[in-house]
Amino acid sequence: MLGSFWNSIDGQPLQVNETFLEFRYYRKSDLSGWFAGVHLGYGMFTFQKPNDLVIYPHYNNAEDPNGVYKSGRSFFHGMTFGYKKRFNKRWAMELFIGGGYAISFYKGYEGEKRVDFENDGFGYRAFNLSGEVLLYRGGLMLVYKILPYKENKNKRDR
Amino acid sequence: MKIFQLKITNLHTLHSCCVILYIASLFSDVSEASAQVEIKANLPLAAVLIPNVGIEFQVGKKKVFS
Repeated sequence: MLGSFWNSIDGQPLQVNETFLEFRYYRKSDLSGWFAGVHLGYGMFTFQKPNDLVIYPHYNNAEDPNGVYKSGRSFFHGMTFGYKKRFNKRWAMELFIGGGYAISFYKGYEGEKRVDFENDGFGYRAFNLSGEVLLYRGGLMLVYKILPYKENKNKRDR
Repeated sequence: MKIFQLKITNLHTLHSCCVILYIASLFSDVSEASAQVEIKANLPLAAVLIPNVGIEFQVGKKKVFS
């Protein structure tokens, strides 16, 4: 789950939230080492389109002009790959990157004014639709393992 | 606009594969469930005040759901 609440970075909004449900398979039974996962996700955004993260299609690489941004909703489905390194029983670090197909419904704005495509004299569309394969998650996670209750109890008894 | 729609259609295979794989995986191997739970936080994003956290439940010997 990710949330960005920045109203302005370099004069542009960066408001994003993403929630993912993911199933992962690790190569080792202690849930460390290389892993791969599949996920579904949902997100909301108000930001300038991050064209650098788009893998396919490159039908439009034009950056949004200053002050122009998109606001809408996205559905994601794709895959995650990464590596988890355990330091001890409780702590680990995980490096991962994930991407896939994202379907977005959005409106374009400059300030509070709509600036996206007009619908042949019928006013602005309710939403524009966009679909891309892109990278939309990744990072370096600090991981803490919550030990099972039984294990804690055994420790206390010792 | 028409070209754009055609490109989206070409991606439906990827779309279908991911959804089928995801749903199938949810129902596999649950009987091996054990108690491991992990919580995690993304450090680079935390440094720029963008919270990104997760929780992971073990659902099999080498499988987790998060």
